[in-house]
Amino acid sequence: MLQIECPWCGACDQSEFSYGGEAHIARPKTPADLSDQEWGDYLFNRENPKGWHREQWCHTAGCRRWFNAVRDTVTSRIKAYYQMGAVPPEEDGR
Amino acid sequence: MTTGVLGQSAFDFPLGGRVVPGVEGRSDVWFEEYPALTHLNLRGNLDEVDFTASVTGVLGIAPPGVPNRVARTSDTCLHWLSLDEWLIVSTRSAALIEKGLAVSLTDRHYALVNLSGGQTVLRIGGLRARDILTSDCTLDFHPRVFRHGDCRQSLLAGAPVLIRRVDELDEVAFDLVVRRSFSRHLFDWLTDAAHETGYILRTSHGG
Repeated sequence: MLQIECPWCGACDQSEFSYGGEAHIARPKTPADLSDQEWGDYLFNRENPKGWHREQWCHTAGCRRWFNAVRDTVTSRIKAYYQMGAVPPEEDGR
Repeated sequence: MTTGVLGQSAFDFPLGGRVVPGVEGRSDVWFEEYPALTHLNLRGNLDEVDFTASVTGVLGIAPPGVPNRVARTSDTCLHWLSLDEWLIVSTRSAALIEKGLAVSLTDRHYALVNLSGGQTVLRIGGLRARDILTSDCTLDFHPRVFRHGDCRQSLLAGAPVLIRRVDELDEVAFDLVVRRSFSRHLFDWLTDAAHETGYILRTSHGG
């Protein structure tokens, strides 16, 4: 059973959460100026690492708040949580 | 009072007055519906000047700022749902509370939505109530973890519910606030889960 620690509600079962994909993907300020390649990168291309991954989670069945987590995609161990808009913690092993 | 589904049971059959014994001939769980309560969703900012005071002035209690806690008077319970969101469940009329809050929160940044027709409260109690809930909910219902004055949102048998520990009774009981569209499923699942322990369906309050 994977437990995820909501910053507000504490540790809860994974079934209460929704996955929001890779974190820190900023929408380009002027999409019209982008090439198809760049726009495609923004829309579709993700890092998909084996190891630590900064990603977004939402406590859907609880307080319905979004937050970020740094999760190991191999073991699903989560080593850090931080709020939306916050500076991500240092990453090692990358 | 508003007409329609408001105040009526969420179930299309009479809930009350049935005793279903379990395998040992006992009935260690009971259910009770509270269909006629007022449900209002309140959103606002605790940091805003006077927000807490304005709500307190109308309800007699302040919106809890600590996650998953409730504030309660004899007729009203204010549940924490999120950082800026609370659920008011009350025996008072929705119109009166709405009017009161609209006056006291004038020109403030807030939202108030009447959910009374869309939700119902199913109370589960008795010796084995915790066992029933635990059988398909990942929350820990141990009294040391699910304390007095706690409420939690979670999935119970796959249905989104708000669960409050009922403090005003001498026995173990939990209030399940559930959408009416999920209530039949939840009721069927609960009574099925209580097949072994046996259960009592108490007459619902109002409706």
